[in-house]
Amino acid sequence: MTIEPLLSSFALWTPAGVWTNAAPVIQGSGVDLAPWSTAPSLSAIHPRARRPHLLAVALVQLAHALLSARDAVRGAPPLHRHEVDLLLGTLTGSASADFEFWSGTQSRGPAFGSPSTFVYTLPTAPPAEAALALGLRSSLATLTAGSISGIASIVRSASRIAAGRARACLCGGVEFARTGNRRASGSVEQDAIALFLVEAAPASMRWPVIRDWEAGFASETEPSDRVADLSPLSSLTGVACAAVKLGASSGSKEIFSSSSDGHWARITLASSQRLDEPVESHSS
Amino acid sequence: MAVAITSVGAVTGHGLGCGRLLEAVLAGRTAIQKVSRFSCEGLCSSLAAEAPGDVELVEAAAGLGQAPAADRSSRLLLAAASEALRGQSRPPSRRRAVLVGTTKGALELALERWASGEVPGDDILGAPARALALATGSRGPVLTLSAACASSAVAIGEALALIGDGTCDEAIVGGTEALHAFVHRGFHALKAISASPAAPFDARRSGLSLGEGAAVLVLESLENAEREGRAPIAIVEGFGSSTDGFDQLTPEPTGAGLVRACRRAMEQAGIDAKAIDRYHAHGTATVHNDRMEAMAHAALFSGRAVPVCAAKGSIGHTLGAAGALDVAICALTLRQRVLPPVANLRELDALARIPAVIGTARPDGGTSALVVSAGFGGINAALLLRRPEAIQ
Repeated sequence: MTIEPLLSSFALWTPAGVWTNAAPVIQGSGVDLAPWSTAPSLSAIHPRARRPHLLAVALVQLAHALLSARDAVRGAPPLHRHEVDLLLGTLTGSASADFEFWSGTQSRGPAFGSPSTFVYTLPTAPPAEAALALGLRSSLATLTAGSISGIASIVRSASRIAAGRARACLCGGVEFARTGNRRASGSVEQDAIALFLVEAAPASMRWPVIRDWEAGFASETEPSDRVADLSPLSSLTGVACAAVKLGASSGSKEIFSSSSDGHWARITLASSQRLDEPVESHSS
Repeated sequence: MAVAITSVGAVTGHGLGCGRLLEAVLAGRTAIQKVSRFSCEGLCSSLAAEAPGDVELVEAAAGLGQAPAADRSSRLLLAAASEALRGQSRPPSRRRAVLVGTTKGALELALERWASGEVPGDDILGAPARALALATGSRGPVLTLSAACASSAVAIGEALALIGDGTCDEAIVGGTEALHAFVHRGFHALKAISASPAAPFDARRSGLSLGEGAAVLVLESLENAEREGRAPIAIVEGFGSSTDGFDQLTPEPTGAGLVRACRRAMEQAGIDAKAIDRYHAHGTATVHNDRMEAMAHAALFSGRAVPVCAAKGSIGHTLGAAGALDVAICALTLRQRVLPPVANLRELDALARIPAVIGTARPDGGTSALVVSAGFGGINAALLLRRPEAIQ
């Protein structure tokens, strides 16, 4: 039996601001995450935290905001945290922590690298911090597929839900290259964290359905027939905007994204009450 | 969903190829020795298991018809792929995926840029997977999975899912990790590396030894393998994963998280713990890991003496490549009906009393095995393997 994966909640933190289940407005200013004055306090949501990296703190805060918003939905089935998978797309990975650890060994000597920074030189360390803080006990990994990593993580999460391999999956994109006054990676133009909760839930919830999904690869000599080289942030913003629109009206929307190095992915979101609507293509 | 492993390639501290790896592992020989590629002055260990040099790796991968890769992780991966694909490239197919597990990918490319004051713009993590995709004509999903030391076990799990849900007929799955001064210095900072070669579960062990290497496995649906006339080496019947939620560095001491991953793998395979014939341990030779695994073993098998194998005393801890190398070793020894010994294990730790294979390899008629991985962040993964005859 195939289960319909529903996109129940999302939260975005970008250089332009923070949004939870609301259509983001992306402005061109800045590369670092915007200040979030009302962010939940780390000590309140993760009292066991020990010197986490900036990215880990941001991820814990945003994931907490998303799950709190999901818990507050009236009539929704309970979401047991231990059943939530974490599969986050990332192109930059642990670049900022890598750079910080490397800089430390350059300035203090090879034998004096910071152990607390080294912990975060794994791409999975920030999501593991979120798992620790928020009680997530299911599978955990990051996925990389060029600049479409975030969309690819939604594709694979939808597949997990549809096949019954997971009850819920926190997916999306995490790009963070900030290291004080220098950026550790130029593979993305702007830092962003875009989290989406995909879950198996009754259709009566009227959350947008991920109706169709696909990912693939084509080399430079064999280009995909549809080229839309979107930045990680703009393609994930497209998903968020489509989710908001489809939560309020009927229809469907396809989001297609490809990277210059050959990766591509597409998902089709549909309002849950009108699955037979024709697909409208999205371009950002 | 059962998936066949129809071909395997490997590069480790024992050299190029599965033949050398298997011979050394069955003899209980270690590849851990003094590091030659960078200085370990001032660090608590100068030992690691280094794979062959770059010239040898590039020569080994020449048959794939690709330009030499720019980074060592990709070179290791392509050398392993050349063996797995018998030196042949494949026609392009959208029904073929590439999944690669790694923790640092092409890190050296970033280090080079930083050292010259530049900002790297490349896909550092994804470079090896992309190189493998181009070499294998893969037009299905090309994904790099990172899950600390469980990375390539998770990649195999994702291959199972892609074939299981009908997206692909075949997946080229790899794990790769190059040895860098960066990583060696990091494990020194954590005080996790030992001044003597890693001795998993041994009373006198004092930490892990790093290693480098790659494994590439061709996974395909049973129907596809039969259609193509490729005989399975082993069948992957189940995958499970979990997160401890205990600590970034230390595993949950009772092994409850690892047990949960194992039970998920067994549940997917429809197999009870009573049917498991061998346990291929993560076996890092750190006190925390070894004692946790002993607890997990006892809980899983209710005290039954299911034999324990582990490879890290022989090839070092290859981090993101470890899961795929463990599966490769387990699949090949399962087929040979032999249990490899745990290299460097002489006397069991009194607090990690497990039925490890000590000293010499021994014959084994068992048909099923659990291969487990346990990484930083409390990430656990388990894969269930069976000998092909056992399911026919």
